[in-house]
Amino acid sequence: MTAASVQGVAPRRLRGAVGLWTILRRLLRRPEGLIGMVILLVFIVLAIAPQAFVGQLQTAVTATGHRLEPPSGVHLLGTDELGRDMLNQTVHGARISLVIGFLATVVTVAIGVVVGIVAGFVGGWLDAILMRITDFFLVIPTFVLALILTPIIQQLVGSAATEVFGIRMTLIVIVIVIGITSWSSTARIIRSQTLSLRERAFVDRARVIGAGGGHIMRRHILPNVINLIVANAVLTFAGAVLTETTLSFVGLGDPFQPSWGQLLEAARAAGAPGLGAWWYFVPPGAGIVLVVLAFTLVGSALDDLLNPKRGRRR
Amino acid sequence: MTDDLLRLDDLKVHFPIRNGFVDTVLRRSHGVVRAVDGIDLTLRRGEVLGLVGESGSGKTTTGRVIVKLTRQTSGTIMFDGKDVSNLRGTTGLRPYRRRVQLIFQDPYETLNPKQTINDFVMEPLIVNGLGMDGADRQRRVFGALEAAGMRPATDFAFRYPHELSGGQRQRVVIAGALVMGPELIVADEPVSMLDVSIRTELLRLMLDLRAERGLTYLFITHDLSLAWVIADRIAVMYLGKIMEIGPAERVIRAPHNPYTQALVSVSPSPDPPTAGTRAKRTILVGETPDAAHVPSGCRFHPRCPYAFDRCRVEEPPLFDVGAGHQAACWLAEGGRSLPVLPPHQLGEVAQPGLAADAEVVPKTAAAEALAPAPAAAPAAATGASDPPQPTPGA
Amino acid sequence: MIGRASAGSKASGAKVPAPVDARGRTLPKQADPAQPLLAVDDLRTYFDLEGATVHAVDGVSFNLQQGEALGIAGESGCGKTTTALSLVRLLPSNARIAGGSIRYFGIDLVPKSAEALRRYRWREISIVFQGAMNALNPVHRLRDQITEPLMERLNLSEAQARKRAGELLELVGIPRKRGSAYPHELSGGMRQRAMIAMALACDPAIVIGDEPTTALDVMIQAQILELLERLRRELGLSLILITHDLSVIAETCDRILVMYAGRVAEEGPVGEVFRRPRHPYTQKLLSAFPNIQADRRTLDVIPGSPPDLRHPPPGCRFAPRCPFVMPVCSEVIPPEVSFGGVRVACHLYPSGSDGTPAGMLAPGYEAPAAVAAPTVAGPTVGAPAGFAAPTVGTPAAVTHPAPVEPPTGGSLA
Repeated sequence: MTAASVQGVAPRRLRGAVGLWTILRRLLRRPEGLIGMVILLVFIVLAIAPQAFVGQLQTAVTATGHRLEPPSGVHLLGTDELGRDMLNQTVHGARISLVIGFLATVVTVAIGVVVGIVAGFVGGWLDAILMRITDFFLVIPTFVLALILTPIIQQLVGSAATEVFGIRMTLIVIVIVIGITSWSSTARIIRSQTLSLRERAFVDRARVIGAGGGHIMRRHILPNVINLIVANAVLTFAGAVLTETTLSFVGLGDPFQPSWGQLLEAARAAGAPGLGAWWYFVPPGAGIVLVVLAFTLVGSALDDLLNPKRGRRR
Repeated sequence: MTDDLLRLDDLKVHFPIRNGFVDTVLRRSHGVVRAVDGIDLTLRRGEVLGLVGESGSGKTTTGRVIVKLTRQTSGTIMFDGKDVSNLRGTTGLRPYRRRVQLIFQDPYETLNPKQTINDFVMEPLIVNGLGMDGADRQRRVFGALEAAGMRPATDFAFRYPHELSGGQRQRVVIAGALVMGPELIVADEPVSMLDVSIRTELLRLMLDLRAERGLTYLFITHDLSLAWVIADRIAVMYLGKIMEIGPAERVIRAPHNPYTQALVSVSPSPDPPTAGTRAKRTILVGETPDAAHVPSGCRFHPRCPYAFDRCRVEEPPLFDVGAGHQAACWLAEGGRSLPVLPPHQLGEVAQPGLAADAEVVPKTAAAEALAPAPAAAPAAATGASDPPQPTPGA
Repeated sequence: MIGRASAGSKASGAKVPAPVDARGRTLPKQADPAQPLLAVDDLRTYFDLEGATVHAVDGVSFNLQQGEALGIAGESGCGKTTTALSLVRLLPSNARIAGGSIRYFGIDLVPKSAEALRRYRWREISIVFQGAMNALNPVHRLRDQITEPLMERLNLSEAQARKRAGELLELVGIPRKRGSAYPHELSGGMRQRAMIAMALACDPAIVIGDEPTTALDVMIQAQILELLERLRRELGLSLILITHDLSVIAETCDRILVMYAGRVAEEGPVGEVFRRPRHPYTQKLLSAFPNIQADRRTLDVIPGSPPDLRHPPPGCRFAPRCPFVMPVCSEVIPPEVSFGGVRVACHLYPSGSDGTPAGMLAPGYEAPAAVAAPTVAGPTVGAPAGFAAPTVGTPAAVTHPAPVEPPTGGSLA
């Protein structure tokens, strides 16, 4: 133990080196971290194997109930206008929404991290140009861009019935669109961190022993931005779910794979609010709110934990 | 194998001042920071050269140019007789990097917190494709750790930096520099962030390694007392130029450049001062100017107590003042010593031009004594051939 | 011992004038100018970590007289900074003063509430922090950062505060017009001067400097120390200088307090302690310091490392590293013994000692070899190392241990 750490004022180096399990433990100790993780865990379990809980996704053909039945012992959350069990729909919707959110996050983070690290590390004109591109995507309203891009990507991708992770191509289009429109803020954040890491002595040392740019970016920059990536990814996930919801709500979704947004759209189209059929739109709405809330809680708690400036008074 | 391991000729490092996007893309600049402004330096094989200077002197930049972290603007670098000034690229620099390494200042920052010690010391071997196989590389890593005093190496190798103390971390840094078997090590303030009692161990280690492996050190520091203890020769830098260079004894005891003289006089020592010693401190006025605005003529003239007309106009070259000792000062032309400053009151800072009326003193007796007489050994130092004395408990 | 000056002891009924100190400054009502300026007695400050308590300061006592400069020396982890912060009660949230007293002219500051302590901080005792030059607010002009506490603490009007700010800047050697600059426009030395100006703003009796020159170039350091010296003379300030750099203390202070692992090792006048260090740690510390004035170019090594202050060893904390260690050292905390103006906590000087150490170099102690700069023997690779182990002097005549002179600068070819 260094003398400084013994003094009780933990040196900043100590904080940077904690492992993943420690972070998880600390996260669970915070109230917001605990609540968020619990909620997420529930939904993730549901999303992995919804069939285990509610059986196969009910279609118009396999609907088990009558039109717009209120919640009862048989249908805990009532039915929709085609008689499909709402609980069944909502739980499957969890899978679709979360998988889309996950895939979109992967795309966003992948692009954002690569652009961020390369721009931040290489610098010079490459950085200048990449940043202008990033700014462009940052400034254009996500939604408008999504609307414009979706039919274009649809043309490119085609609406084949092939599935990726159990998601049809039509929704993969949404994944790609969300990825394209969201990567820029991740890139900015990662680039910021890379800029400050680049100046640190261990990067200089890597250069002195003859490491090339690729090696340094992989072995020195990336491991030190992982924490930031994780915190950012969690928040990105929340954003992706919301964006997907919005896009589905305006009709870009797939009625055969109803995400929560799609369910909300269907509820609106069936006139559920006017008819007082609250059980149609409240469950998917509640699902969205809870999941986004949970991600935000966890993401913000992680941000606090991993943020090196703890504001200790000296 | 030449005697001079490293030679810098008229080395200049100028950084352009660029603001913003357009400048970056078009590579325009508004002015230049003259970090290193034409220095000649020779490093002899096996010696420890102390490169001393305050912040802004260019000493760190010089070190960085030697290890190829920063590119020189002009001038040549000769290593072991070969011109390495234009070596570039990861592969092109590989043979050079094996032979020239750097020890950094901050043991807390030099180690990547996510890397184990083993990975850190192994990395140079992997990056450069050295070692026959994994086992061979591991052997070399352990060897380097043990050479740096981390024994047994297996105890330390798989730890993370935050588990080690500052002194231990610096040993790891040294091990990392040694693992490729370099000949020249540039040490940039290697002990300034460590406690006093630990510094000595690290310094001793460095000297041990010099003896065992025939290393040559460029020891960069702002602490003249540290250079006094460890260096064979000392070079003093100011605002990008070498002001004085020579054997440590001569530079410290008989400085011929007013800046060196001032530095020596204000370097504190743990001897309680008498009123006499306090009055002899030459505290310069002001601070080192910005390297983007280097004064004309001798760059030290605005703060020099001895400055006269020629100093403001013409920059002095390094004059030989005997016995491998050179000083860049018009007063040193012809090997003269500095005039004696009129004593000043405690609390007064030495104003520039203070010594305009001072009488120029011919070589003092002390200065004479330090010049090597052709045959006899100098009086001031004990003979180098005396064997070390045995001591109790050693 | 220090007696408490109670306000009630003054004659009641008659109007009592406010107490003043030697400089004529008005003191708080309860102050007793006859008491020492600062009397710290058995101060203990502990840090509460997860699952352990760090005894950072564990029984430290010292006095400070008016106009005096005391240097507190020690390496990192010895508790010197914590001591300073305890004096002004600017400790981190997990630290607490666990015992002892801090008396300012007889007034004990330890039991006072945070609110009551505000009267003393900056107005009686102020502090210049380590790395202070980075503590300036980058978005405020220099002059505004000085006028703010003046207006807040001394209730001056803006015009009065500006005038005083100008005076303060000149006092520390910053031209008045530079007051309108922002911190980033000033050099490190200027910023440090600005911090000193701020510390002096409310005309305190004591200024504590926590490593005030550590990050500065040696020439700027000389300027700042010269400034502190001048301020001390002109304003009659008392100074507590905290630093690991013994040479700074040698040049600036009247007395020195050497701390090790939370306790006092030795204390006394600078001349006496530096010329005849009594405590083995002081001896080792001094000989580990490079000395540009000395002919010797060797440094001593202190083997081992400071103890873990969560579980301090019983007895003397330096015992594991001490060349003169005796069995009693590991068991009994050495009492502080005074003689000849010097105070030492070491079993070599038991109670009643007159300064002659009563002990011997421990058998089997390996004197480590000192660092020595070997000569450059021309072109040969690897010049022979002229190492020489220092002779740690026999205790009977303990002086500043003089290592055997290694070959220095012999062949100046």
